[in-house]
Amino acid sequence: MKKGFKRMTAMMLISSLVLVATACGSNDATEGTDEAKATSKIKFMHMYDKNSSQPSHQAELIEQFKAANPDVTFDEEIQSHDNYETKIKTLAAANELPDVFLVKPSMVSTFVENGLLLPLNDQLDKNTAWKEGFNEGVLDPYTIDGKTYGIQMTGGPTHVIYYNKELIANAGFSEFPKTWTEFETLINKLVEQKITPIALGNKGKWVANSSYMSTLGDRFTGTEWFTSLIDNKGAKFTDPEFVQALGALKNLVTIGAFNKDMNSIDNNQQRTLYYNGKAAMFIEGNWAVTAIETSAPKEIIENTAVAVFPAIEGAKGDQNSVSGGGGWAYAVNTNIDPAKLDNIQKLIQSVTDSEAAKLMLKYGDIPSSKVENIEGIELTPISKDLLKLLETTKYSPIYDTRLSPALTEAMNTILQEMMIDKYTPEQAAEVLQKEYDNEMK
Amino acid sequence: MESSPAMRPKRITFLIYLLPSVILFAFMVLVPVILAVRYSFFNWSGGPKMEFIGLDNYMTLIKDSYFWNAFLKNLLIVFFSVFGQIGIAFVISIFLMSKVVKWKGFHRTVIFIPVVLSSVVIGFLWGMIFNQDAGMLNWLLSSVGLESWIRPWLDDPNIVMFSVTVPIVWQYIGFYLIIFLAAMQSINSEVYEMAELDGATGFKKMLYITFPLLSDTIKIAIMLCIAGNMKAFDSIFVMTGGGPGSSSTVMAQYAYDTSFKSFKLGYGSTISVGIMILSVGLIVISRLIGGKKRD
Repeated sequence: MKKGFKRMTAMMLISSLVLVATACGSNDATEGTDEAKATSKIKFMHMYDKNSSQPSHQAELIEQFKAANPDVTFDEEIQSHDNYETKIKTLAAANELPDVFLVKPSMVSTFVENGLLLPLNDQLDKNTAWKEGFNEGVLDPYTIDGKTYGIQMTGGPTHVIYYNKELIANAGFSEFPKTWTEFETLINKLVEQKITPIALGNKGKWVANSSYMSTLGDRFTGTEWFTSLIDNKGAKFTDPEFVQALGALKNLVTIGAFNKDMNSIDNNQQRTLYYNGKAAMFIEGNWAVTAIETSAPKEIIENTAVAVFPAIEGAKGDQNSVSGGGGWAYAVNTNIDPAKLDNIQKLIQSVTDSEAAKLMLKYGDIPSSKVENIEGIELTPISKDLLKLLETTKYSPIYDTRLSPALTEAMNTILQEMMIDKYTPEQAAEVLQKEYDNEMK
Repeated sequence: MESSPAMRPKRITFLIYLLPSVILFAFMVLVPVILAVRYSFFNWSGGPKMEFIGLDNYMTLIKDSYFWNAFLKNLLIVFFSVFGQIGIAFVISIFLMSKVVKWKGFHRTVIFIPVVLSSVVIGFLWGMIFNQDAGMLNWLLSSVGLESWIRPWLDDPNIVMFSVTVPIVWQYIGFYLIIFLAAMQSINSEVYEMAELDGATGFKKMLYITFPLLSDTIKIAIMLCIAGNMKAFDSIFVMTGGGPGSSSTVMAQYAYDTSFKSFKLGYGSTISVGIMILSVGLIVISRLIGGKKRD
């Protein structure tokens, strides 16, 4: 008996030792292999699984690159979207990022501050056709002090109004309102008919900021205001134009534009309200196109058209601006072995240039590079409408991808508090400015 | 003679047996707590760059109105839970101990089921119950003719805290019920028989025998209740995400948002340390109050 116990004890001890050893030793282990393989394989972490049930253009493009360049070898790690985000942040905190990976605009400032990203200007300059093929401003979210740290493949608008043509026609509008006053009239008419004008699911708090305020704010203030704000060159949240924009959003709440449970449902549920025909519109980014086409009933799909906020009378900014352009982008580790850089440049170019963009369009996505002859590509009706609409608009910054994570989080919460009457627009602007001052000091 | 020296293992054997769990505990609890205390002195956004700023984070915390509002919300949950969870559990356990109630095992099981459900499931369930259009609560109200009582339960900043407290209270009644039942069963039945001979009936028996004899158990239950509710997070997070605005943001969620959404990992750690201090403080106060009663 006693022997048995002793053996058990020994086993337990060993297993606990192993636990401790692995917990402490993981750093050294990876660094060791790192050096051995550094010369040959490109460590590449992304989230585009070629065997996934929902195929993506990036997975296809990466496979194409591999087939065309058999001499370039990869050490690939593929994660699902949510895991990817957690993992990349963890790796960044441990200073163990792979050679090539994906970043979001909001990560760029933190990562650059910690010296983790390599400026890619030299790589971009190697091929001017590639560099100039990008739509205007799409690389701005990844640019700090003139250095570009990320190269983006797709970047659609975060603000698109998806509306039900039939419900709008019933309210007396044969086409979407052209001015803000008409837009408010439409909302009032819909309220009278007991139809929810705009389905909003702001439980995640980012919807009001990303899909509403970024566009609305820019219409009132103009883009220079935001640039000045980001660079800390004098613009303030308390500037009258921005307060007006907050007031416009608040007024939508006051006239009953949204469903009453807007803060306890999320953006997927806001679409459900629209699919049921209970709501005349919902506002989200271009990513909702695929969702509508796969989940909405047929008659809703056929009745759906797209628009953006109409022109606001007397507002200062460009009235065709739409927030957009953010999203995931390829980035390179600052400690990269220079010998690998040429192949990395080829890889990133091949998955982001205008040739790649054609494939992205086929997948119903909005590419960052310009494409010639869009008519020649087969597209779903809503995507086609959206592309046509985007020809008449220009991108403005998405607030929640450009402001620091801390300020974004504060803004998300403050906007929601304004929408439940805790703050007036003036108070909301003041609280926001206080957060901003804290950050900038 | 049940512990003769021959059968008693050596001291060192005891220690070796304890070691695995001590190591696990150290790595799962002690090390993170010590690390959090260390991080709380830094301005840190998650990268290799850490800037030591001494007590600055704590100065910010003391003046942070969001944190203190969140603390008040936790106090509200603690208050309702002490009376709701422990009070209701006490009453039910007295019923279950009496001879009137049939199917005791069944009642016990049903009341205990929510305790073993995941908080995420509870959050989703109650989220659906509170739903404005399709929710069970509003349907029930309208079917009994109380349309005027219908509210957007999770969207009205004035009532949202009460709405999210209900599931928390409901979930843990079974937990305290089991504790009380076990304690009541250990009260010697002769005491009750003597009391009955002296003419004590149902309510008096509860007040003068059950309650005093259970006072230690109740104290422990209150301590568990405070500790549990100071870290309330999961079901509220699922139901409202802390909204609308910050109307249902409790301390743990504020720490989470600060650390993982705002990337202020240093300040997030400070908030966590703050939660720890406040929780220990509350428990100490509750022990002091409980201790005085005995004298």
